[in-house]
Amino acid sequence: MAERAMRYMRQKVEEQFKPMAQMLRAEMLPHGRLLAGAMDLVIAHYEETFQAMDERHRKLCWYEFCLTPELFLAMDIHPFLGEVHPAMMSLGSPEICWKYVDVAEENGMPPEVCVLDKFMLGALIEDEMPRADFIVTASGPCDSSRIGYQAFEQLTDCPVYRLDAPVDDSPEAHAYYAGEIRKLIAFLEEQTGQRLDVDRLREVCEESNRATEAVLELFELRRARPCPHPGAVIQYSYMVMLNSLGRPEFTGYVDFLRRDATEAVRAGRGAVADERYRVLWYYVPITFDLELHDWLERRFAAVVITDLLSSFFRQDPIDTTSLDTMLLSLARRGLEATMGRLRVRSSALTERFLRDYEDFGADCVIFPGPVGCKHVWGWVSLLREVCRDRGIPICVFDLDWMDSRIRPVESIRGAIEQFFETVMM
Amino acid sequence: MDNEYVREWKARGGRVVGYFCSHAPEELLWAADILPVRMRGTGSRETSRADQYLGPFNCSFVRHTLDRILSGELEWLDGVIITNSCDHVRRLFDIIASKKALAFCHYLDVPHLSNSDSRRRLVGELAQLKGRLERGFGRAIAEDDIVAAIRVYNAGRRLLQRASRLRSTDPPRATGSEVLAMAVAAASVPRDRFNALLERRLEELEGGVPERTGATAEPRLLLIGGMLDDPAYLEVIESLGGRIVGDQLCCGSKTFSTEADESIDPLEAIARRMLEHFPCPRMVSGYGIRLEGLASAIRESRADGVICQRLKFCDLWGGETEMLRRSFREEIRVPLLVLERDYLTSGGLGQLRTRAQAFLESLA
Repeated sequence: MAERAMRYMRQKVEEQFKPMAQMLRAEMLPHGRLLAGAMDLVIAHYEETFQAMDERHRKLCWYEFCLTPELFLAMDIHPFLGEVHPAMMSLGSPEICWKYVDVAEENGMPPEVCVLDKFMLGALIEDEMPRADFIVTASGPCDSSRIGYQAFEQLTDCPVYRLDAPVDDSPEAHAYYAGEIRKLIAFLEEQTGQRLDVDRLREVCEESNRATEAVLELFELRRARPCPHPGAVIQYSYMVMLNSLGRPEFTGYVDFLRRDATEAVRAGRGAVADERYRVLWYYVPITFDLELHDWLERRFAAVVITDLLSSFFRQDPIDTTSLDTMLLSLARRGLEATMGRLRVRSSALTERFLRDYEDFGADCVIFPGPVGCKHVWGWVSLLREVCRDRGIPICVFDLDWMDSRIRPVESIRGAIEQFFETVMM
Repeated sequence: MDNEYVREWKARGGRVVGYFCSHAPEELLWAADILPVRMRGTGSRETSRADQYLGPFNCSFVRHTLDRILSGELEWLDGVIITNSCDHVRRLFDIIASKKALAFCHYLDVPHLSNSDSRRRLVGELAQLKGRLERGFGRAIAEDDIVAAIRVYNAGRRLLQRASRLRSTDPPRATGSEVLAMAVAAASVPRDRFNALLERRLEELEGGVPERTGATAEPRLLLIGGMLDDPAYLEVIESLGGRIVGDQLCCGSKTFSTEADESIDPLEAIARRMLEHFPCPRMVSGYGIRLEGLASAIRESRADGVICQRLKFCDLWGGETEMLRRSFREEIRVPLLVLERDYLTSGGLGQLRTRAQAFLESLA
């Protein structure tokens, strides 16, 4: 029998994630009560992934940003969003990122390519990506992913399906992308040998809508002063959302968060006893510093109220009237969600930024710009000008959000510390 | 870019619009009586203005070009059309638009896949551009104008194809640097005048006695990669005894190796050519197609080696070279040299000489 894929991750789930989930449940780690559910979802996701690979009873699809999982779930396909995997693998173990990035660079991938694509390439070479039945990728959000997925195809023997993601945000562009998703259905039907059951898709979309409703309410609740939940909750719930929208377990988790936040707001209880600063975190989370949010909260009484990636989920629910309306909603959702959103013009990103800043009553902005993201480095100076004109304090620094060798924890915290001490105090 | 032909065009009241990529509809501009010129950063000496808006991880082509725009050096341009070629260029557009650096700015969303749906979408995008050009420059564009423009551009492409073949004859009748210079000139001279000039030059080259008789024995090279508009780069390689017999460069043969179909609807023909001319890594339709095209170019040109150059921070060509290295090792089995460069050739001459020299010695 061939060696099982993802050996490291299997071990990590058993030896790190499961004990961590227990510790969170026992509140031996900060905010354990709020985060345990997220860790349970991560564990369940990986266990399903391993099972799909080992037993081959269910097709496994490795998919990319610009898509959300509802359609796959409706066709009983196990959805595996490739881009979340590097974050999960290196969670609390930064040296894992170094290993796979080095493998990719040794194989000729230039260092300046996005860490996600380098990491996935290295992991694929080392058999740490899932052995998928097929890959579904869109032509967005960036050059790095566009070329990354072509490189992955060269190393796998599974079919690869591509959707063309427009950069435009017009109704025509959304309709075009809905057409791309419609064509994807034919591919999935061919791969699974099953026809799409529209009623089943509607059920999954309705489940996804229940979660969306809770997520939207959570965003509203986070506008309260003091903010009811700590920053870590945003980071974790965002990461699990990407693979779990449309699953009842995820709905249950965000519903729990909603109830908890409602109660906290009613009681005037904040994540920080004496909230001083409300931080808008634009853009990436830092996966190798699990205590960053706690540090910010303790050191400066500063709470991250929302971040760029998760705020893209402030969207309308899926219109489940017909297959057409569902596809249009899924198209919009895929293009808008997370990094897919970065494909649009800078002016649209700035508009969203200002909306978030105002809606959440932020006092300042922390903008960690990943070295591999060419999008943001062509945008951030324009954003800085807007901030200067409006008196919005912003702290911009470069880093790699997974590879701590580029800028280590101390340096990141040092930059933030300097910002608070010189600009905010 | 700003040559005597452009100055003359401007002097008679003509409009000039810049574009950035070989996936651009030059014919549509020409049909509107606008001179399309390909944007270049040549002549740029520094980038302090662009540095204010671009991060350290954006590429030097975009940096130099933006600097020229922000400095006002290109104020004779009436506008610019940008396609979503890459993330650097997309953000360049955002900066130009935000700073209102040029009067007319249009963003053309060119699909990343080529099929009937994407072609239809691109035709729609081209129709929108046509409308904007008509409104922006006050001139209606008739279908016949587009048809005529396609004919002019196709004629130029055929002439460049003829020139291109002269690189690989034994002995060669044209150098690789000369052919690149022709292709670059084609993108910054009114195309009808360019065609006449090139026709004359081709008669000289084809009818005369070949000068480089010794070049027959030199290693035959195919030059590939992204943005390279400086013939001096090729001259260095040729001066070291390398014979460039073909290219797949986005300012080189990608601009002329295919023609637009003159027998179909003109916007459809332009869209089809934009999506189907030899694909660059921005097109996600598959590395396999590009590799097949490259393998056949190697066979046809009888290349002994391939040089792939790419700009630092170009993710598309960065990933492409990663795949090429593997393919060349496992399938193609022709020596491959990968060179990373800055946009201005003068910045890396020493390294280019050393690495090209070593590569040529390994081929001998």
